[in-house]
Amino acid sequence: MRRITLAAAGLLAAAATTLAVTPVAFAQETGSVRVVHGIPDTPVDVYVDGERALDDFAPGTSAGPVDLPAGSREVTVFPADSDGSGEPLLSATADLPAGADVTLAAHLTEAGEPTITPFVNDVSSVPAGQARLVVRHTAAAPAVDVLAGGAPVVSGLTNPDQEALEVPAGTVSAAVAAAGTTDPVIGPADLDLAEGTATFVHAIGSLEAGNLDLVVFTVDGLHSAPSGVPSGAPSGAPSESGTGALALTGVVLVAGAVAVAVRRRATTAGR
Amino acid sequence: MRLAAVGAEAEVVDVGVDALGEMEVPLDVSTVGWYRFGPAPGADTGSSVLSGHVDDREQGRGAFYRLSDLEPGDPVEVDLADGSVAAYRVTDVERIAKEELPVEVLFARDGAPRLTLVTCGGDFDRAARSYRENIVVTAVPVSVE
Repeated sequence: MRRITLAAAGLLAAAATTLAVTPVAFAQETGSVRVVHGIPDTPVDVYVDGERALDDFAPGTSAGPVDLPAGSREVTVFPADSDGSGEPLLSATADLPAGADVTLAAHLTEAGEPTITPFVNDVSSVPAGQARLVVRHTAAAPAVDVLAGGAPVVSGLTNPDQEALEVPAGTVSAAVAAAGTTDPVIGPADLDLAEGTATFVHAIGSLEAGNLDLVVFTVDGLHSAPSGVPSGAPSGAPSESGTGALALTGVVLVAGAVAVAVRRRATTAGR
Repeated sequence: MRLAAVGAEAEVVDVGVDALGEMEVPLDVSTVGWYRFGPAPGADTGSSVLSGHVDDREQGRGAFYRLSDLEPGDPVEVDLADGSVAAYRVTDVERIAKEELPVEVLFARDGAPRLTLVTCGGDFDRAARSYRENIVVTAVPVSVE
């Protein structure tokens, strides 16, 4: 059994979950967990601490988030419709810190062996007008580039690494190509990167088997407020008839008063 | 959108965020910008923000030139795309130093439904080429009064 330590931080608002795990009352004592199934052709049942959490979890899908008690969680993956005994396909022990937001991805290594990789989900705030795009290489394939609108935005990503970008909100045409090339092995597909969201894209499957695909989930509510409202004069000067003109008049009056005072003093000195 | 109490009427255009991370304000001072990433006028929840210039040397008076003359109780109406009208009534008119603008409150996407109108006011800082304050008008839906 592998032991996986998760170093993570960040809180996430609770959302609907499809994981059949009893939630815990106190948020500060829990971590948020999502799961991604990236092993083609293999529906599975997922057990957490010996209890079935996901039944018939389909390849190419994701589930969660669910809040689990912080601490050491035992995750075992069996072929679908097993009774949770016998030899699991995969097992891992995850140390889930309180307040963490993590994804457990069941996927293939670059060489094509099933494995479980924990990823920390960056669900921190996104600057106003922006969206976060996180790409993860969890496919049996060599290094890849991620293309947006045909141009590489991530270069040389290898299994099982991730890379995060913050981009202006909008729809991008995304594709995955072998590193150094622009001929897509996945996509292109339109990704709607809404403002104030984080979109997590997992490349899954196997290049050799010809079943590469994407598993995508989005976390919303990460927006920030703009830093101000520059609603003054766009030309850099106010209207002559406006508030600014009044302020200017005030400056002229003050200057006039100074001139008068100086003249008086000069008169006194001349005596 | 209309501010009947001060005789103002302006077209509303969608705006986002500028290169400095501030809310965009339409260059045409006769129009008003709606912060398209937040709630729309007429929404059930949160603050829908409209911004407009107060004035400009080249273009003259802006759509929100008389925003600071509004008083609690004055009507604010926004024509919606579906032909209906979102009707609000002013509850607060505030002058706030720009560096103290409570953007987290102004742009909150949750909480009670409200319309927030923002322009500039106070002294004009010629070195910074901008006004020192924001005028912030808060209005609540007439239907929930």
